[in-house]
Amino acid sequence: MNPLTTAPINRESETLLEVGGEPFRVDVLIAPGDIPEHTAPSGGSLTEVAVRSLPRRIKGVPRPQVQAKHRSFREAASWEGVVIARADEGIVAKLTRRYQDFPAEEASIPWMEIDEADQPLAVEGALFSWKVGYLESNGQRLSVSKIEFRRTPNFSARERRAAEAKADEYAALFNG
Amino acid sequence: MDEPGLERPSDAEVEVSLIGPGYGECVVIHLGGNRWMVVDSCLDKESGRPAALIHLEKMGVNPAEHVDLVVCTHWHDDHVRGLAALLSQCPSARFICSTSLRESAFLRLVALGENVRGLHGSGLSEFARIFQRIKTRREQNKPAPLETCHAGSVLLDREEMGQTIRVDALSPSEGDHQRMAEIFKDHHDHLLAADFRIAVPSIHPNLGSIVLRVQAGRRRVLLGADMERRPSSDSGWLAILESSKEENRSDYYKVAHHGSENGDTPEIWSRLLVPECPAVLAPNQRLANPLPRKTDISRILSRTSVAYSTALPSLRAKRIEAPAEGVFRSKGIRIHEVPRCQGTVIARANMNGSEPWGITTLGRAYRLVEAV
Repeated sequence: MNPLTTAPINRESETLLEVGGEPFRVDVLIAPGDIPEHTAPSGGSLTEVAVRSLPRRIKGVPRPQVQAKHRSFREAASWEGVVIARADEGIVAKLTRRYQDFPAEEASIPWMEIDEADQPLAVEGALFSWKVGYLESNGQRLSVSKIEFRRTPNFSARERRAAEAKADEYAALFNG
Repeated sequence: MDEPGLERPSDAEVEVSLIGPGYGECVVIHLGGNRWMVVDSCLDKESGRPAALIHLEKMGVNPAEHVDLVVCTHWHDDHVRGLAALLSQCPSARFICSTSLRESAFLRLVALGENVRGLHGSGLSEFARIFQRIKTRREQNKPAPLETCHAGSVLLDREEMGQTIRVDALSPSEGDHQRMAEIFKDHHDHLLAADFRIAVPSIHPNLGSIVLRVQAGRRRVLLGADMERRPSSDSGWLAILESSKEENRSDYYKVAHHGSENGDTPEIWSRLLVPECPAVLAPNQRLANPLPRKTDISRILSRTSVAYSTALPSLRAKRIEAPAEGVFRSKGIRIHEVPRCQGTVIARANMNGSEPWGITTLGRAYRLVEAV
């Protein structure tokens, strides 16, 4: 049964779907009744929705707010990061510049730059993406730093089996 | 050949070159008769290639023909960068690592890091490249020696120019091997138990490190790797001291663990080294408190006045391209990068031990007494 076709949708309710284990939020753009039935292409009512993927829910960790993408964001730099230490004032992270084979860098990032919902995830070894740049709107420029922690699930059974098989291959090299 | 200090040593000379780009280290040793060994690997700051290859090429040495041994003292990123590329240029060299790295938990950590994008860290991804290269060569029926060693292993023992050439592993001890096996297992289990995906954290301590003694004629070179001082007599430096004979004292020392306090003990100097032994270190500038610290420099100078470093241990703030700089400034974010301060300390001497070591500094290398 396809939940997309059977879930009741109206403008007021927040509709959450789970497809292939991944959560999505559905926002109603055009609800039944917005457009007269006779103008709809099939002669029936018309519904238009926007489906946005949601960050994965992790036990004990709230989801951050999902916001529509702001198209006027101008990226100045972006990194992949890994937390190497937690401190009272923030995190220390090792960074690798995206798109360039750049030497790794290190950054001290205050807690206020990290979404409160993501702060419990900022443990040693946690992976995140970091973009900095500007939002431009009505002639105003706002400096933006956006940090998103990976909420992808840990190793699947398949990945574990693949790693074990690979480790066995490595072990055999020592006997060769 | 054109650069001062980079002419190839004569067949009867031993030469030890410590290369340090600020983060990482590599030792290139001439064993006499144009035979060479390389211990650990780091990347050249300018080219991004293995620093050992560039050093050998500058002397006109063909690594494919003349490098006999490549030893990896331990798995940390600052000791393994570029190791796979180095090995690919030294196809006839035996590759030797610590017995601890045969542990299944370590190999699984390497495999997990390889199979999952974004999980690289702790130098493990370099090991994935090394293993893959060895596997590929063997599938092509080409030699790809892979060996392990521990305290008491003899890595090399032969005559060269009528002189004894011998390389001994002084660590890891059996006790440390067991400890590292447990540490690797803990990291592996922690990684699999996490609710969300995390990178392999840096695996400490450095107990699985290989400390080497290289003998070339009457010269003895002690390479301290990142070995630490531990309270137990079957662990770290105490285990090495326990099993070492005083008549085997070395007259050159690659200082352990970037000159840190926990990599040192007075007995190293009194029992394993001759008085006023040349001591050379490579700093680690990537740490929150870079090594060596001022107190470390003072302590080392209290042991020997003939002490050198490949570079200064300082950090500086990185300048980001103009638009982002304003963002960082307004948000109180600080980004650092390792400054370009690579240096090399070259120590050369005849094998018969009749003269003191001649020491040359290249790049940002300096004598420690100048820092005081």
